[in-house]
Amino acid sequence: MKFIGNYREWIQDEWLDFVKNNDGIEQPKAEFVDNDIEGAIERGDRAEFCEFQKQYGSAGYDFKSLLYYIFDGRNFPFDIGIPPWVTDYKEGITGTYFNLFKYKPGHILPIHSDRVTKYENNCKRYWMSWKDYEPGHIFIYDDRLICPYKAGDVFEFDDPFAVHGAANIGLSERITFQFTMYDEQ
Amino acid sequence: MIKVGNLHDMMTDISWLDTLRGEVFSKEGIKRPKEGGKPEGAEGDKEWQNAIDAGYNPTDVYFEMFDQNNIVTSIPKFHTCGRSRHWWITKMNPGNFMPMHIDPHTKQQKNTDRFWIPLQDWEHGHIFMYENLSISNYLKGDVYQYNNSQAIHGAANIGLTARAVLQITLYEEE
Repeated sequence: MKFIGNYREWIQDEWLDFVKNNDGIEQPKAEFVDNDIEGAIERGDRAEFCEFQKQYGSAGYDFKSLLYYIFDGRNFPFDIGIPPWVTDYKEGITGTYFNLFKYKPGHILPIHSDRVTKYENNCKRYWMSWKDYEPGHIFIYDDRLICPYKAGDVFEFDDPFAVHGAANIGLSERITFQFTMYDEQ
Repeated sequence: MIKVGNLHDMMTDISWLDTLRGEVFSKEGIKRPKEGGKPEGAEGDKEWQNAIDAGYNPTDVYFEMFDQNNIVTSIPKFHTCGRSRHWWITKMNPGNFMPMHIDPHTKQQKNTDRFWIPLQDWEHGHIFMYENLSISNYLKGDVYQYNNSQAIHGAANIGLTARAVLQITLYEEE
């Protein structure tokens, strides 16, 4: 992870208040229900992705449980635009999406690589915390713990498909933002 | 945390580590916090309440614990410099964790040294946090010592395999 800079001033108070005061989409439960992933696994659709998910089921994770909350273009009612640290966005060529993660104490995101997504073409991914680091706020990238950090610190994934995961074993909520760019096909 | 060495370099036979890991992975331990109750003492009370206030559920199962009451594998006697020894093993299945905490017993015990010894090689998602550090890329039998026995620490398993760690505390009797 490469440190890019601090962009705390970009995070609007109303954005932060919204995430603090709402719980977002329950994951992975919603992902599995909305995308009928259990059905896909049974049918053998999206073989690589489903194989990936089956490993997690075998390890004991419950697809229908609540492990963390997510906000994205579906449920975050603000236009975030293109973040100020992004300098190589090209209208009509660059695709983008964002995810906001909210972890209450005890929430986790198992380690994974996003190689199985469709956003692989010239992909760049940025990670930003919206709160100051506190003990127990865990973001693991490969074998490295990212900490300490301040709200607004932005890091770029060296490899957008590196193994990473997160957990909150602290005493306060953990809110992080992820912005991904890729070339449209 | 200071890496002191590996048991392989300190003992002629460490096959007991594999036996111990096999035993821990083959059975269930005491389910914590559900079956353990809150730690003793005022400090334990305070940490327990802080965790509940944060949203942790004391009737859930966050990890499993083993000690002399539910382990039959013999753990060798280490040189303790005349101090007493207290050991336990934590097992975390994928998705398990232990919130950040300071062990209350280390505040009651005198002249304490704490050691952390993984029963398997490190794997992705096996997390131990000691203050602002995470310990990774370790090998089975590596011995880490706490710089401060009362440091805040915690653990999580967000990987795909179970994780087991032996912890040993040496202390002076009152």
